[in-house]
Amino acid sequence: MPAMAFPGDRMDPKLAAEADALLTEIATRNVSSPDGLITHRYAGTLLWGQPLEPAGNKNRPKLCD
Amino acid sequence: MSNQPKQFRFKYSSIFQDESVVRAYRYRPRYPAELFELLTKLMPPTCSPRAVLDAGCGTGFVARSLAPLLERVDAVDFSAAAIREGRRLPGGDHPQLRWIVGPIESVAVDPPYCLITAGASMHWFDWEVAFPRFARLLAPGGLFVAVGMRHDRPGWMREELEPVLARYSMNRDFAPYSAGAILADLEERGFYRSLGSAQTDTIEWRQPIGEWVESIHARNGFSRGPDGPETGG
Repeated sequence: MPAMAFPGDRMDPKLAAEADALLTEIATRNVSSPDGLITHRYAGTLLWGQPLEPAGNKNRPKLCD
Repeated sequence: MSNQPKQFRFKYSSIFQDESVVRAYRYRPRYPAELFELLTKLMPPTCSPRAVLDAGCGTGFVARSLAPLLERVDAVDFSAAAIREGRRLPGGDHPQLRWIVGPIESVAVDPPYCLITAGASMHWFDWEVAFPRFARLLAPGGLFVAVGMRHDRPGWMREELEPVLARYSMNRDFAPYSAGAILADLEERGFYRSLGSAQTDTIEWRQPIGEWVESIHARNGFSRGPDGPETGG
């Protein structure tokens, strides 16, 4: 397929470094475990259902599905 | 793109084509193993072949774990960089996993599918094109499944992290959202019918602070450039 455009904005390197330093400082100050690791607690989630094509859908592309 | 919030426009999703963003993906948390057992239980019992389309697969957090459990997983992403990385990661060369580069709204795929999964990717689709297409790609009784995580974040992340992310993000249109709210909106507009939900047990996963900071650059709005800091990009 042809290459896609890259219109998105990127972080200025100085701002990226500033953000990294700030995030590191916040985490270091708040993480209390002796090994200095951050603990993430989370569950996996699933939401399921039936996709629908509304009658008269104007966005239907010309595909051979 | 049809009627969709500004924060999900291609201007912002295009950064997932950046090598630097894709490299940072490895520091994101992985889905619990239990989630893949739950997913296989959602397959219609008589559906054949047992094939899944993973839409917006990224580096294959869903697809690489699911492939050994099924006959085939077709993993689609518009980011060639993400798929290159996915092929290199554990399970990325599984014979039942087929990587496909292209936009989920139009790329050629091989239906019918028993399930169509979207792991933290649904918000980037052109919903009014993708969901009707999913309806046509699914086998009878097949389901669309939004795969995600529910984080139990400590207070400091809620109170101190969010303002920093808001200050530095290049996505100036960002607003909080949830998969449930997106699906409820689609249901109201006739593109979706909700049928159920499930959640795994809560797990713990630990990582060094440096890796966590790096994982922030795998988020939309935090790309350091096509190649990343190592090459001065």
